[in-house]
Amino acid sequence: MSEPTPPAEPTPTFDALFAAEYPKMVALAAAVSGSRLFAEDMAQEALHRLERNWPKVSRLESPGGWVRRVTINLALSQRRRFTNDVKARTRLGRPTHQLNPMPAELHAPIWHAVGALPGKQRAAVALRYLEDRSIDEIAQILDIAPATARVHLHRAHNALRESLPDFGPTDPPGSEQRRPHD
Amino acid sequence: MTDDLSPLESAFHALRSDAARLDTAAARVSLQGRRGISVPALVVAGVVVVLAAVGVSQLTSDPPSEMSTGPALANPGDEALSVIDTSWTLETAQILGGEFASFDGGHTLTFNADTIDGRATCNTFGAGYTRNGTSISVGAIRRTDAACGELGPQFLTSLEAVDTIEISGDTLVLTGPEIELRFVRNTGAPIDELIGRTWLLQQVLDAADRRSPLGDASLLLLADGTIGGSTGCRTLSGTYVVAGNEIRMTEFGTAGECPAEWQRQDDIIISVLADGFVAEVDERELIIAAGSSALVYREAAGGVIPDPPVASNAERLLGTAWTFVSGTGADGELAIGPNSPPGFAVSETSRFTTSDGCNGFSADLVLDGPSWELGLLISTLVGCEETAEPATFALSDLTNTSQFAFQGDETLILTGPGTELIFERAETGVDDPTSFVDFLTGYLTEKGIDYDGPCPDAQTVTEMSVCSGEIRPIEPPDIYATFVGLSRDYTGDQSAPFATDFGVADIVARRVAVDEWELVELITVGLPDDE
Repeated sequence: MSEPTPPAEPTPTFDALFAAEYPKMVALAAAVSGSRLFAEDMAQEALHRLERNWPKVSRLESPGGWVRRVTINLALSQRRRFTNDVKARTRLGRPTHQLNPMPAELHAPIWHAVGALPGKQRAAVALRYLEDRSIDEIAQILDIAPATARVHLHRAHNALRESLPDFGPTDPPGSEQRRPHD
Repeated sequence: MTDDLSPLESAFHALRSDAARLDTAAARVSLQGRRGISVPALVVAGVVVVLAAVGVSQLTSDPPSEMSTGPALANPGDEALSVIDTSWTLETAQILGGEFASFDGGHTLTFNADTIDGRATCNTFGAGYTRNGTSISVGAIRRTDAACGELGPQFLTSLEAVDTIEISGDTLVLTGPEIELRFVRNTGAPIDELIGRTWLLQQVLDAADRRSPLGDASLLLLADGTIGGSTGCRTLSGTYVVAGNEIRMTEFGTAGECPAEWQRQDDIIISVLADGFVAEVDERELIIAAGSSALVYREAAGGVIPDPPVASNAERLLGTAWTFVSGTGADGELAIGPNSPPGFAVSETSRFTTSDGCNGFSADLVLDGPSWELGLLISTLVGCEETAEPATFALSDLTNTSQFAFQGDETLILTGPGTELIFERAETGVDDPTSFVDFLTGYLTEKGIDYDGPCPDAQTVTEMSVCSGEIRPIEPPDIYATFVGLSRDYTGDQSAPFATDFGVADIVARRVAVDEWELVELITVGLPDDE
């Protein structure tokens, strides 16, 4: 007699996924773009795209990974637009915008240092410290090799350690045992 | 609880907590209002686009197939003036007792079958609507909540209160109690007018500045969903989808590098195109605007782009990689054996790179018309088991060739005395410098090669050690890394310093070559440092 087949893991509904992921995407977008103000809009846009593609994405192994990559791409794109705009204005000798910096209560100086990192490093750091993601998970979300993710984190740590005297984390990336992300 | 956290961890913790306090339910409702929104939400600055007039008959040819209620009659005497799939920009407004105001193009409105959406300065919005002739009712508007001035909320509140719609030519007027919202039609570019034509950049507009472009910047959207063109200094590639009258980029990439004086033009073009756009086509002129910039293109004469300068055979060979397909040699047809070179690559600097499955080889390549001549072959010195298989393709067959010819773009034929070798073009996959650098850094790390570490003592080095490496685009698109280090040959008898560049062609060769071709072998393919 064969073992009874365990009930299949129920496919999450979009509403359930939205409720779970929206705050996380806001935080992720803010961390990667450096703008808390635009983060909600970016998160909504990412989840809007998720909803539009739900029939396809819901069948993926990790819809959450998909929406994270979209959110990160939107955040990097937003940052690029802003940077281009500032560069254009600077060349023209015009006043530049502020990137709606993080509010003081969110430890603004830290975000200034994080914002100075290259995009992929910002994304890797955000996934690491915001979501406690493992190297493999970061690599999967960013669609890069695990070794590359490790290098991004390593370089981000070095840069942050230089710009933030009391940076803190001492464990080299990849060696620490983070709890598995649930 | 957060006392033990580092400042960095505390900052992320604070951000996570801040986001956790958001009203997720309200955000979900807001998202539902965004359904059908076709304008990317992340537009910070508006640009006034001067839109050419397009006849109403042309724009209203679509049947009002999914009109929400009733016939789509706008004005007495007009027949079925559908607003579905039309887009409008607010020109003037009288809003809830306020005075007329001028707007700067930052307020748009698009009608879908049963929803509207649009942009109010930096926010996007959406709502349901019903229309019956000149009557219109807009449902509760869902919107994003970025802070960007007061005009947005006033506009949206007014929009919710309108009850009458009138269309006259390219003007749309929505009215309600003490409200008049007057829009001008966004003609956009009928997609058919845009796709399949080659556009050459004529002007670059950035804020108040307007200038002629450097070089031949072009844009081409093909019917198969791919894009091409250039910024004048970098080539464009990617894929797109059509959404209404909007071109949405699903992938967008560039290749190459720009001299400093071209950088501004390159930046503007990328910022305008990269996230998709709505374009205006006026006969043979194409205008694409985004943010504070705009690009004016003109269709290439005769509807086709002037052929790029025909590259010489030598130029066509530079920066390519080739995989062996078949061939004949002195012993007849050549099979692929364990020592067969999987192919070869030619760098932009005419450096030839290959492998025999054990060692890596490189040589300068002299190209002259249909002739090629390999210079001195530099090899790694890995001790390999010799296997004599006369009927297999070997390095000697490659070095025996002296002529090359293309058959189309994908096939290359090398010939020499009694030898004919056929190759097919290999995918490089490393056009993007960023991904290449990512790959290389990852590869080195994965292999445990500490390219940032100190150089070991010459007496202690075993086999090979790499130090003082630098990975960054150095002379793109060809050279991306430079290493110096010490190597000890397989006999262990001697060590020698070396310095080598590591370029796209090398990594292409590795990918073409056997999978296990180790980087440490590869990077010794280079001229030893004589110093």
